Amino acid sequence: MPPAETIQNVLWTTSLALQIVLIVILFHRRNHRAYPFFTAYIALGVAQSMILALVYRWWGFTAFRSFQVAWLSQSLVLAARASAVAELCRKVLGIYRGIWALAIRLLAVIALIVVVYACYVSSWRWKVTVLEADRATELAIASIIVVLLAFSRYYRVPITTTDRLIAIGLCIYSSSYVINNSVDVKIPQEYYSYWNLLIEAVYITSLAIWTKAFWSSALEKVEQPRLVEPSLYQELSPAINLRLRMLNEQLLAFWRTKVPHL
Amino acid sequence: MTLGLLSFVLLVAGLLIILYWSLRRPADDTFPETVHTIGAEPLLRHAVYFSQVRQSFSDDDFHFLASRGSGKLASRVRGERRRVALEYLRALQEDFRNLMRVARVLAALSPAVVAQQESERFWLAVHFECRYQMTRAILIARGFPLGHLHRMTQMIGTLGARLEAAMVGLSEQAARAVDLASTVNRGGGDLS
Repeated sequence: MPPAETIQNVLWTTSLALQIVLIVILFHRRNHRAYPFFTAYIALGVAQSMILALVYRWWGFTAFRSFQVAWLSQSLVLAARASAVAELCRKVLGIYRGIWALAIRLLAVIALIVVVYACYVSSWRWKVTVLEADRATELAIASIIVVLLAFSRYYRVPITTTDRLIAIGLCIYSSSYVINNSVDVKIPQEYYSYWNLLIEAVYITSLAIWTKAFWSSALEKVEQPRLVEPSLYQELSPAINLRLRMLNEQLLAFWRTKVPHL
Repeated sequence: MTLGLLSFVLLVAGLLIILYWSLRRPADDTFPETVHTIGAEPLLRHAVYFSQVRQSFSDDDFHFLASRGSGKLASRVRGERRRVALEYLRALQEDFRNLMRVARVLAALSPAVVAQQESERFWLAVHFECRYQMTRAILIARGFPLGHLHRMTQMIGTLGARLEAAMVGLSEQAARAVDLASTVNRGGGDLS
């Protein structure tokens, strides 16, 4: 057996074991209630691993039926992943009704732009359509996570350690997947199996991060913020913007004016 | 490496950089539970001292000192003026950031926000930070071009007066709004 295949098997077994450990933790700590879509995503990952192991054993790695099963299961896992991301976004920003309404529009637009861009760059080669759709979705997921975290930082919205770690794990894996898929088609056949080890290693890293996220017995709770009346925002926000504009003008004056003797 | 692959690599690298930035704890890592804490400290602490800044930039003072004193004195005054200019910039930045923080907390705690105002504020912050960094770099490098100090002094004076008046108005507005919110809260009303 070539070394790449041995390492691949070791990594595959490790990731399956970690997925099972994570599922057990999620149910044991009753976190599946708080994170139903994330739990479904991990559970689908376990199911996919087991189904593919059987399919490859029966029909072989290169059979067309194996290919079909692999991509069908991948699309289901991807949909679950996207749902887990949506769940995370709602958990982080959902309680802040005003900025959540703003964020959801922003995230949708960004996801659309990223998907269109990914499709444009890949020129829609039909032979690798599934691969490219997969890449576009993963890129959109990574972008959404990053924008979500940036948005939360901008508005100083507190994020629990669990949510933060889930976001990091999802983003690292999606980013690596995009690079992996982009390089995949250009890599010579003899190095292909070695290249695939990388994404497996990244997935194990993400699983370890998620396991750490749910390891502690109790989840942190974000206090429900007491929202203010809408008129307060309507009254103060334009006034604050006006002052910000004036400060900007002040700096612009400093910038434009030529000052001697400095 | 093809253009497509390169663009994906750059895109992912950019995303990871923003991810790293987003995960870093901000310097003013505070999020008040209610909007009541907004009025707890003055919104603008420095921008109201424009008259003093104007005085420090006085052209007459500089010419007087340069003509009567030694070259060493003129050089010292020049150094002092640069220091004042840098302090003035830093103060403007601190005031700007204070206002931004208040605006963000207000937006986060509001049940409805206006996208146009939020985006305007975001771009104002981007412009301000860029200009601030450029101006500061030029001042530090002593490369500020020669010109008409008088014009700047006038501008600082005019804008300063407008800003001072505007800030008084804003503080009164904020105090009234927070009072109103407290009254409704005490009465058991649901503000959300």
